Amino acid sequence: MLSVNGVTKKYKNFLANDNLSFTIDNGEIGILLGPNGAGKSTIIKSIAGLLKYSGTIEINGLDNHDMEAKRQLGYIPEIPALYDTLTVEEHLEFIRRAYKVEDISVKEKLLERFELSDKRKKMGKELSKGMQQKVSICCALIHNPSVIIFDEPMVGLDPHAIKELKQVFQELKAEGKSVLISTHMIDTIEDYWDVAHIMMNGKIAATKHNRPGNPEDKSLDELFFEITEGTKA
Amino acid sequence: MLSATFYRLRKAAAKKPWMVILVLLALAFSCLMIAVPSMSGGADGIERDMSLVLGGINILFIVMFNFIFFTGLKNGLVGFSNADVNFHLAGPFTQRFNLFIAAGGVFKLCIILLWVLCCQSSVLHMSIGVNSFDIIALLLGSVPVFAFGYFIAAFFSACFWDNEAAIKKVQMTLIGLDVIYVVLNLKGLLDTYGSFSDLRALGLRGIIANAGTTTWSNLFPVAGWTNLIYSGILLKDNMYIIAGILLTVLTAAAIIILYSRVDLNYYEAAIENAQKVADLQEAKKAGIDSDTAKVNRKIKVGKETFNKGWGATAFTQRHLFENQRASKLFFVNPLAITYRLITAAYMFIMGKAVTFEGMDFAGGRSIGPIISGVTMMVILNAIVYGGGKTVLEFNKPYIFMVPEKGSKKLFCCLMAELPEMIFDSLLCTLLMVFFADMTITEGIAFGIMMVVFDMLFELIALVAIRIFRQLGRVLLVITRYFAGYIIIMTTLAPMIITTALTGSLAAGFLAAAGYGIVLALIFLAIARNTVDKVELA
Repeated sequence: MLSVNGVTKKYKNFLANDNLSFTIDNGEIGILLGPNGAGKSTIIKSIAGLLKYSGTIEINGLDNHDMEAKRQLGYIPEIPALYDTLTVEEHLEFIRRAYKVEDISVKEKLLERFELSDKRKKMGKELSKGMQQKVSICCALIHNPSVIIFDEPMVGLDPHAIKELKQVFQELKAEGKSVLISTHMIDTIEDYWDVAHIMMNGKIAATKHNRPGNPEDKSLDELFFEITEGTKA
Repeated sequence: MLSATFYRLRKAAAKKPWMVILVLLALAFSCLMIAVPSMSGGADGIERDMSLVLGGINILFIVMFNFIFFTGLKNGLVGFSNADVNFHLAGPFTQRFNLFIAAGGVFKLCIILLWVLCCQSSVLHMSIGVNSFDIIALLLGSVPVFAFGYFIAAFFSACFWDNEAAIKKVQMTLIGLDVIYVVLNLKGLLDTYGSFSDLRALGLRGIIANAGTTTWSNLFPVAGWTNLIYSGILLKDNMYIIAGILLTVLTAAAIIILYSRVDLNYYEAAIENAQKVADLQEAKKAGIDSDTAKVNRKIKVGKETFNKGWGATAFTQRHLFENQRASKLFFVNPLAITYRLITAAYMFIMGKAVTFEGMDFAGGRSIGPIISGVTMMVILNAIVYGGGKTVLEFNKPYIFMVPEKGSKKLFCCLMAELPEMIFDSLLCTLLMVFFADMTITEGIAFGIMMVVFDMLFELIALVAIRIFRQLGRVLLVITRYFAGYIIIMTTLAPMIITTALTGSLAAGFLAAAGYGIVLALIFLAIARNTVDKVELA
């Protein structure tokens, strides 16, 4: 379970996150929606422990800077952060060793799952952006984390990879993991989410739970444009 | 079109007033440095030898031509941005006109090089006796050398962008020309002076004065022709001036004809390169960059395997593995080796040419090579280790995220750099023994001092990114290098005092090393929590 309580993050005088609080339960997929500059990546980076902030962030009840919490967290950054001179396979080997994952077979499974087997000997600098993103996803999943955060994961992926990634989201959910996805592309998230937080100016402007069949509910599109543009879609 | 480009440049400059101030300061400093060689009015005892001045300038022109030609050949199509692709390449302009757009980046590099050359005016004055007028001639002469060199090379680059073999042939042609030039010059000198031992007796200055003023040197494409004009001015020989101007004008005409007659078709390569530049910039915005990207370009996967390290030590092993992949040896950093070669060339030239009157050691051993060597090594190592692998690790999330204690991960990264620091210091020792006539003991002491300095540069950089992260990328890089230089300068005090008291240079180096270790421990204490205290971007 991921729990964010009263997180505030300032860059000099700019308030990127203003007292954010939300929770993603086990087996739940949460979405952070918002226009560019809404503060989505900032909160994602704060959860990953990459930024300093005020407030508390807990991974399965542990502070996110705790070693055990780090072990239970997987993070896929917006821009894939690969090492230029390591091959795809060596990236997975490095992360497997750094996270002390004993099971060697998990590397092969991920390579096959993300259709990277034929690219295993390619270096990071030789890969397309989409391929780099796939490697980045594999690196985040290799240690079998229970909370996984994705920052704009669809950017740069081809339709087949997007379909595959959506399948991964569903599987992670089925395995009882907490998944948080930050995106500004509403049309890519379809219907697999459980809770969506719409962010605007560093705050959560609205939260919507996915309860199909309720005619009273506004669609996510309608709610998003109402908040971000101040008008109905 | 040009007015639109100038408008864009003006607007960009207006958005960065501090950059304009920096440029103005740099210009003012250049003027001062140009004036320095003539300030003494001959009181410094340096005699002006016309042949040495002309020979030295000609050789500098030849080096500049080679540099710009190879740069243009390699990077002729890299200077486009995505905005250039959208507005220039897709606009109603010819391919040959748009090729000029890519020149901007390369000319910025040329301006920086010329500025560095200006800053070396005192060294040039002491080594080849140039005065302020010569420096101005050198700067003016470099304009056609750089411009023609670049446009010829960029033309070949655009013609053969999809034909690596043809590019190689062009490269080999210039290398061949260089070899022919050296062989012909050597033959001419041997014919004049009789034997190698007589040549050696001339000294470096004598060789430069002779080799740089031969017919072959004056006929060297573009560089020699430009120098002909200046030779004519100094020697009051109108034939030289006319020949130089004629050859330069003909070259310009030939380039214009070349560009106007041949159909170019290089947009595909330009677009691909523009995308790569855009990807790099995007990655930089996200805090991911690699100071060694240029070195990495040539690295290929070999038979090496990554199968060591567990937890934090995986970082150590990965760093060593990256070295192994890049250089086949885990203790060799290719970037440091490149800089060491530059140092060797610099020490060779400066060591033989620069003297510090009244400061040499008893027994006639010159202090010049030691000062030039130490200065160059310290300046370059600040770049190598001030932006070393540990510092670069902070551009990626893994060092923050891997579930190990921050100080342990940091220590593992630093330890990975120790073998390459030791190897690099060994090279420094050899250079000092070979070029600066140091004894083995002095060399070893110097090597120990360099290991300490390298580690100090790394730790200073870590502390700088911890404290000054908010300054932004550019200022942070400048801050960390200059902080390194200032702190290293403080080690001069114990070095000089100890050397003066004991009369031993080795003791001086060891004193500086000891003082450096104390500083390093202080910085280590501050830096040890860096992983936990620093933000990714």
